[in-house]
Amino acid sequence: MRLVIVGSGKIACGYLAPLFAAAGWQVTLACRAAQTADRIRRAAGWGVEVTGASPFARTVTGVAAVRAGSFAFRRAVADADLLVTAVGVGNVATLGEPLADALAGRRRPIDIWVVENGDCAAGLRSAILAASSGRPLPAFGIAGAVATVAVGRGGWGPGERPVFVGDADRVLTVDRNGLLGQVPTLDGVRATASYLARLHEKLYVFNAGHAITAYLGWLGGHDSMDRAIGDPLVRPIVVGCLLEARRAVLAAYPCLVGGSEFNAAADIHGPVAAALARYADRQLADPVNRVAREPIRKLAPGDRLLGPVRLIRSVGGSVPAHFALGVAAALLYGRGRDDAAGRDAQARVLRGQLASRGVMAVLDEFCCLSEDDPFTHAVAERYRGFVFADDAVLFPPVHTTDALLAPRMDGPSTGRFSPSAPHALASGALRNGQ
Amino acid sequence: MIAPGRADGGRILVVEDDQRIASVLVKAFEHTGQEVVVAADGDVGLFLATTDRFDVVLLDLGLPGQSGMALLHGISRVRPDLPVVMLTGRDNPSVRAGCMDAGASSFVTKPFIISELRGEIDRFLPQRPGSGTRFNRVKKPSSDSEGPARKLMTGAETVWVLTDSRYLAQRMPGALVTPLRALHRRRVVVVCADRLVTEVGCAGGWAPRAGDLVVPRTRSPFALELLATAERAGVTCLNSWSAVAAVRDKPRAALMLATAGVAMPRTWLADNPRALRDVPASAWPLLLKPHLGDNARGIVKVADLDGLDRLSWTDGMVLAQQYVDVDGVDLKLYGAGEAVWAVRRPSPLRASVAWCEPVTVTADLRRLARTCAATFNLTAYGVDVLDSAAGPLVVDVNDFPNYTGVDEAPEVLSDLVATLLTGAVTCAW
Repeated sequence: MRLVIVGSGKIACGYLAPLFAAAGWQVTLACRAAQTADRIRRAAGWGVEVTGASPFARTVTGVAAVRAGSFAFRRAVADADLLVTAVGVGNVATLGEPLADALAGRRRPIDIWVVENGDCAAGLRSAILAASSGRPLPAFGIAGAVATVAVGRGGWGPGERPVFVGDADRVLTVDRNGLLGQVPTLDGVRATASYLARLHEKLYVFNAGHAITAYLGWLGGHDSMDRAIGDPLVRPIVVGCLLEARRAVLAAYPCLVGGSEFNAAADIHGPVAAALARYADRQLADPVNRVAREPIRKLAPGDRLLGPVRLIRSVGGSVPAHFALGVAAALLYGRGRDDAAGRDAQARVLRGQLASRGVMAVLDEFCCLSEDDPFTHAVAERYRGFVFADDAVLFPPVHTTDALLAPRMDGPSTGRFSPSAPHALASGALRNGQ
Repeated sequence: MIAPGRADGGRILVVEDDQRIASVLVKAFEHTGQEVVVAADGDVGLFLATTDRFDVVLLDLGLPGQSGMALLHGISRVRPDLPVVMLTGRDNPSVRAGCMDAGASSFVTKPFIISELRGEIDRFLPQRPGSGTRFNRVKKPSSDSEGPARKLMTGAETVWVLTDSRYLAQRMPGALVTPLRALHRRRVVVVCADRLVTEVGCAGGWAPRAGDLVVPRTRSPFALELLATAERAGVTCLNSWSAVAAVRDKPRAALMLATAGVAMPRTWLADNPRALRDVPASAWPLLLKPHLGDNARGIVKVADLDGLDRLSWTDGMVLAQQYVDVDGVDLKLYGAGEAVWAVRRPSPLRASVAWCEPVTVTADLRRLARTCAATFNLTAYGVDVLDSAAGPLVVDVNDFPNYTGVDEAPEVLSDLVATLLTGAVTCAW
């Protein structure tokens, strides 16, 4: 069986290629840059390390590499039995043209799995059809897929043969509704009729907590995720976010309840504890800057920070105080430091906009949070509550006086939550200088 | 889950929505080496208390959303071993009693003096090397001015329930903790031996002192060592180390019962199952039991020599008893001090449906139970009996059972523990 993976990043090389190669598939990686494809070919393989209770390492060999859009790419797609993309949500739209070209050169039907942290399959189908310019394409199925694995390290930069280090939570859930064929039998791969539930379960809970750990951890002076989540000031806030989000996801998607009836310990505390344990994986040593990068993308309305907020409020939850603090922390990523965070292009744009237009305007433009939305005020209040001292950062309280009094909301626009309220900057817990 | 790095002086969970108070507590305790995690509401507090590792919880009664009392109930249900110190502005006795009934270990009213609050918290923090015993910050009343009864009112004596994690999901010892706290106003610390690490020469999280009482319900070898350590320090135990060790060692227990004249099925001891080939054919089938007993774990019924040949046995020394057919129904005697109860229930070897029915304790059964208890010097015990045609046959004796089917057992046991504690205090002082 032949597989083409479009993408050569952490998920492609740290999870997908090893998964299929181990099952005997002939794998071809399609890279955006010819230079990356050259590196992969010259390296003739790479290392994969899996962390966890039974860690192991293996070498992946025999994988071909081509440049996406090249003749070799079109030929690989023409011969493939399955096509998988893992390029990052922001890059999916750019695949329309190379995939349309390549699909035009084959006759057999094919399925495409879109393995991204977003619901991108429909968008990619549209991009392919738009780029086909009327050329006949074979029948193709296209479906989103959710990979649970966290691959923290590894990449095809200059230097030695890379090692991709990921955790042991390796499940790939593929949307069966969009496919022409069956999902092949592979270790940890399964089809689902509840794709959106699975996507939101991962994106709005695990990824949301992951990102907020990174933003709070960065403010706390931590460089790795395990240290960030071990911080006694960061951890309870992340726990609050995870609990808020997990409850909302279960309310929105009852199919995710594990047993015949809801059990708080199993359905809420268990997954939240599992997420915390994965953030704390010391072997993974996931860099904070990797998880926190591109804050504008993560602050988009449907992404991991505001997607869960919308869900929480749509199922009748009150203004989520922990998320308000997490979103405020994301706005501050890179502030006052000339490190990787300070140089993050999106973080620089945010800082410039915050300085020139203020927090309410930024929340409106980048997060689509209107000025009359109580959550907007909750974020702004906490944003203003951070204090950057010489050797430490003061965190604002999770609950301001008014937030505590906030009634449960019937929906996202029930504006009974009043912001105002001076909150005590001096009462922010003083961090140990780190 | 992977807990954050452990601070030298222990970990404290503060569940407090008032950031001013939380900040004061963070500064006060971090200054002396404790790690303080602040949860701003009950939801986060319950999660952290029940999934993370803390030495003590400081819980504000007046929380937004889930109340402090609801949170206390939740913590007590899932982590009865975790001390909870309540912090509240409501200082009337009914609130205090309600908290203690719900499992609180201590109660501090606002406004509080930080040194006094520290004193309450420190009692539950691990001892650091060279800092003396765990309780040496608790002021002990002068012995020449106050009698034992007065001393008991201090509540400084602690009941240490030494158990295994798996028993937290069972009725006992959890059901004993509630009346001890609620009816007898006793400080109870539940320690799971399988979660404990102790440094040799240091008390660590296991620091009972003379005057305390240890209640062991455990099958852990490590717990036996802890029990021995406590006894060497002059601590009274509900069941002594020697009693627990004796009933756990099944060959030794069988020899002691036989010496005491207790009727049992025919019993053989052997170095390994192969040696049982010489057991007379008339005695088969046999029940083979491992050397160290743990409920019905590892018990195998072997019908004949062919079965013996097929047997995979990894437990070394074996105790074999003639199988006595009682239609899969066992008679269980429970004892706590002078009290004896009896129930019928399905044999653990054949149990597919759980049921339990009380049985009248006849004079013979009472005598049998007390003989077994006296043989091992057990205070809280269970006796497994086969109600055979030839009369009751004892097949096992164990320390601190689950008292399944005996509704009043927790209260009777708590009275017994309180009585023993009084005696222990009197003796120690």
